[in-house]
Amino acid sequence: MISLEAQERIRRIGTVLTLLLPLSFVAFPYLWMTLSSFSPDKDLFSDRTIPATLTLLHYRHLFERTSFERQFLNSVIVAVVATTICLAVSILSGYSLSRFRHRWSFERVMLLIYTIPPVLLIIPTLLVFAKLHLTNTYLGLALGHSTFMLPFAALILAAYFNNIPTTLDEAAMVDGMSRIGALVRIVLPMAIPGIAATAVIIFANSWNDYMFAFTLIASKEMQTLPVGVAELSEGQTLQWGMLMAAAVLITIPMLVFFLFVQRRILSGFIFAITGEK
Amino acid sequence: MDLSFERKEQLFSYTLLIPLFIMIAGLAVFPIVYALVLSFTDRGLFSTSTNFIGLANYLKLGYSQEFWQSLLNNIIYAVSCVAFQITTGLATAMLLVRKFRGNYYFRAMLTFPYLVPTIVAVLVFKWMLNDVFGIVNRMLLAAGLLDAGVGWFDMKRAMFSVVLVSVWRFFPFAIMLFVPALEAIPQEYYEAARVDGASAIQQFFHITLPQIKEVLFVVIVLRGIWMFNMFDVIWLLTGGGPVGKTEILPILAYLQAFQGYSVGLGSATATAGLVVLVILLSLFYRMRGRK
Amino acid sequence: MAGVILKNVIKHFGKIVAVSSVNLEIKEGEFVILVGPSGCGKSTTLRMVAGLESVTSGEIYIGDRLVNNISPKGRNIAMVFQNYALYPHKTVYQNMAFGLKLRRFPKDEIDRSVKDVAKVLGIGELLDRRPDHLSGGQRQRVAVGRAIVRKPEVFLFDEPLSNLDAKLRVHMRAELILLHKRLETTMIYVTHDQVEAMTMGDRIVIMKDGIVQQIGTPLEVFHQPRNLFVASFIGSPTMNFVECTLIQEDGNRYLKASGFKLRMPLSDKKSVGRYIDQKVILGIRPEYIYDIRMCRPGLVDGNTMRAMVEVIEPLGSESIIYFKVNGHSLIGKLEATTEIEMGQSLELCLDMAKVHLFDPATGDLIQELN
Repeated sequence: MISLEAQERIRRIGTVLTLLLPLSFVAFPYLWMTLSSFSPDKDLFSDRTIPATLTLLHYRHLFERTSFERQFLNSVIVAVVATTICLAVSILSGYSLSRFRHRWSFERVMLLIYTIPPVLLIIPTLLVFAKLHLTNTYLGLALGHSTFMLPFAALILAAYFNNIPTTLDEAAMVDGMSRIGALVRIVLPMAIPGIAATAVIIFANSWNDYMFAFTLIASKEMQTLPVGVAELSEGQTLQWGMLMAAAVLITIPMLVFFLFVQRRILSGFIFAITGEK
Repeated sequence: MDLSFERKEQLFSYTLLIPLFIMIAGLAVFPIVYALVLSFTDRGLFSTSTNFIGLANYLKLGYSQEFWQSLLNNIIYAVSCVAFQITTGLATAMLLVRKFRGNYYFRAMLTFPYLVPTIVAVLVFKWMLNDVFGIVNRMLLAAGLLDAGVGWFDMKRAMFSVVLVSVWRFFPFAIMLFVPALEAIPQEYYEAARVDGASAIQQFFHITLPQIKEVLFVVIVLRGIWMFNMFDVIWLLTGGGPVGKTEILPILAYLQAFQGYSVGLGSATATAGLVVLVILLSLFYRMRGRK
Repeated sequence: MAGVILKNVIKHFGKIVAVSSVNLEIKEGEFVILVGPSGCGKSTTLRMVAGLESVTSGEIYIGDRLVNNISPKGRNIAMVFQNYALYPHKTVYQNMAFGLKLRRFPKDEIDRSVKDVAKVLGIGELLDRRPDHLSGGQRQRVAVGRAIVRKPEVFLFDEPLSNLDAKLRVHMRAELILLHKRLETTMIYVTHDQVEAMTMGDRIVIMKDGIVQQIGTPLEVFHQPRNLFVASFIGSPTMNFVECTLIQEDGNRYLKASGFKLRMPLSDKKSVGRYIDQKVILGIRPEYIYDIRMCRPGLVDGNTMRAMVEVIEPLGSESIIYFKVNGHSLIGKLEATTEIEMGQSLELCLDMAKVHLFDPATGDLIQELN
C-alpha cells in the first residue's frame, strides 16, 4: 500500500503532467509562430520542421515593404487617447458610484448593454461619425474604443474605490477640501494600483480591436495594426514568414503589459478583462 | 440658493456621471436606436435618401435562405464554442487550484491567448492549418494518421476550425473566472466528504459543482452572448465562407451593409440577431428559475 | 468500537515540526481530550488519526489495524469539524444520509437511522431545512448527527463548540457528555479551552509546541501538574508563581522571598535537597490561599504572609482578590463572607500541602509536597 505522502506526490505530478496538455495547446501556436518568423522561406515551405538557419529577413521585409511602423504608431496613439478619455470619465463615474447611492442598478444595465451585437452598433456609428467628420481620425476611433470600455471601467474603479474607506474623504472635507479635492488628492493616489490595472485593460482592448478600426478608418496611413496586418493576410500568395513576424511583434507589447499587471489579473476580478467583439 | 447638504451631494454625484451619460447616450444608445430605425428604411450606404419601408427588410430576411442558414450557423457556433470553452476552462481551472510548484507560471501562461489580438490568433492558426505547409497537416501525415493533407477550411471542416480558434482564443476567460470560484470552496467540505467516504468524482458532483453554480451560470451567459455576437474571428479566418459555411448573423449583417451597400438590410439582420439572442437568454434564465 | 494507539507519531511540514513524538494509548470507549494553546499540534494530531494528514513517522492503530496508509474512507471514523462543514446544498436529511448513501446502505435503513438519530438530537423537525436556515447550535447538532449515523469506531471532534456563544457552549458540553455515555464509543476531542477539557474528558492530553506535556485524568493534571506549563494552563484563575530561594535553617526548610518566609512541611524526598540555597518557583493555586481569620486551626504554622489588597472581583459566593506582597503579585480565591476592602492590609495563610515547587530553568516539577 502506498503511503499517504506518496499518494499526494503522485497526485501533484499527475496534475502537472495533465496541465501540460492545455499548456501545449496554448503555447504551441506561439512557439510555432515565433519559430516560423525566424525561418527562411526555403525552410518554411519545405518538409523540414526545424529550420537549418535562422534569419531576420522577414522582419526586415516587414519594415521595408509594409507600413508596419506607421500602423504600430497609429495603434499606440489611438490606444493612448482611448485610455486617457476612458480613464478620465470612468474615474469620475466610479467615484460617484462608489460614494453615493443611486436608484438604479448599474450592473444590470451594463450587462444589458453588452448583449448588443457590436455589428449593430457599427453601422449607425459609421453614419453618425461620417456626418461629424470623425471617420478616419484618431479621436473618432478612440472615442469608439473608449465608449465600449466605459461601463466596465466605471464598475471596476467603483469597486476599487469601495475599498478606500469613505472616512478618509470625510476627514479631508472636514479639513477643508472640497469633494473634488478629496477625490484628486486623497482617493486617487490610494487607488493607483487599481487605476493602473484598469488602464492596462482599456489599452489592451483598444490595441486588440479590429472591427471598429476596420470600419472607421479608410486611409492607409491611419490604419491600426490589426487592420494593417489583416490586409497583408488577404490574397492568394501570402508572405507567411513576414506575417508571422508581424504576429510576433504585435504580441510583444501585450506580453509586456501582461507581466506588468499579471498579479491583478490572476487574482481574478470578475470583470477583469473584457470586451471582445 | 442654499441647498441642503443632501441635495448638494446628490447634484454632485450626478454631475460626476454626466460625461459617462453623454458618451453612452451618444455613442451607444443613440446608435442603437438609430440602427433600429434604419432597419425599417431602405437607406443605402452612400445614399442620402432614407425612405421608411416598414417591415420590408425583415420580410426579405424571412424569405432569405441565407438568413436562416446564418442563424443556424450562429447557434451551432455559439453553442459549440461555449460548450468547449467551459469544459476546457473548468477542467484546467480545477487542475490549477491544486498546490504544486510552478503553479503561478502555469496560470500566467494559460491566460495568454485571451490577451493577444484576434488577428494574431487567426494568423497563427491559418498558418498552422494551411493544407500544404501547415505544421498540423505535416505532423499528422508524418504520424501516419492521414494519407493526404486535410483542408481545414473546406466545406466540411471550416466550422470546426472556426470553433477551434475561438476556443483557443477565449477559454482562458473561463479559467480566470473559475479559479477564484473554486478557491473559495472551503477545504472542509471536501474533508468531510472524504471522511464520509466520497470518491473524487462524487466530490465533484456533490460539492464542486453546486458551489460554483452561480459563477458557472454567469460564465455561460457571458460567453454565450459574446460568441453569438462574434465578428472578428470568423471574418478574419474565413470571411464567412466557404460559400457561407461559417457565415453567422454578424457577418451577414456586415456584408449586407458594407458590401451590399444596404444599410437598412444590414441593420435589420443585426437587430434580428439581437432579438434571437434575447429570446435564447430569457429561455435560459427561465430554465435556471431566475429572472 | 475500537481503541486508538499512537506510537511515536511525528509530523513535519517541510522544516517545521508540528508534532513531535506523540505516544498515546486510548482505550475502547474512552473520551480523551487533546488540549493546548493554538499551534500546539492538537488539531494536526487529530487529523492524522482521521487520515486527513499523512504521518511523517510513527504508527497509528485503530483497533488492531495499522491505518497509516489507509484513506479516511477506510478507517471507519467520523469527524465533527469546527465549522461543521455541512454540505450547503443538501438538506439536513441529505447531509446526515450522505455517508450511508455512499456506502450503499439500503434506503429504508438509511431512513430509519437518520430519523432515529435526529430524534435523539432534537433535530427531527429540521430534516428538510438547508444549513443556512439553521442556527449555530442546530448546525452543530446536525454535524454531530452526521457523525453518529455512520456508527463509526471512533468519533473525532475538532473544536466543535468554539463557534457557539457561551451559554450554548455550556449546554452542548453536557449534551456531548451524555452522548458519550449513551454511545460508549471512543471519542477524541480537540479544544483550546481547558474548562471543556476538565469537565468532559476521561483523560486529558496537554500539548504545547507539538510536544505532549502531560497525560492524565482531570484531577491528576490539576493536583499533580508535571511542569510549569501544565500548572499554568489548567485551572482558573491561573496558579500563582513566585520565585523564591530554598534555604535550610535550624533543621527546617524555608521558602524565602522578599516579604515572606514560608516553612515547608517536613519530607525526606531527595529531589528537594538539591535545591538548597537555589532559586525555585513556588506554585500555589488561588483556591489554597486563605484569609488568616478563616483558616482552620492547625493550618497556620509558619506559612503566613502580609499582603495588601489591590483589586476585588466579587463573583457571588466567592471573590477573586488581587494581592500585592512586597512587589509580588498574587491572586487568591476567597470566600466572599470575609470583609475585605481595597487597600486593606491582610494576613494570608497558604495551605503548604498544596504548594508545588518547580525548577526555574526547566519548568519541571521538583517534587510534590504531600
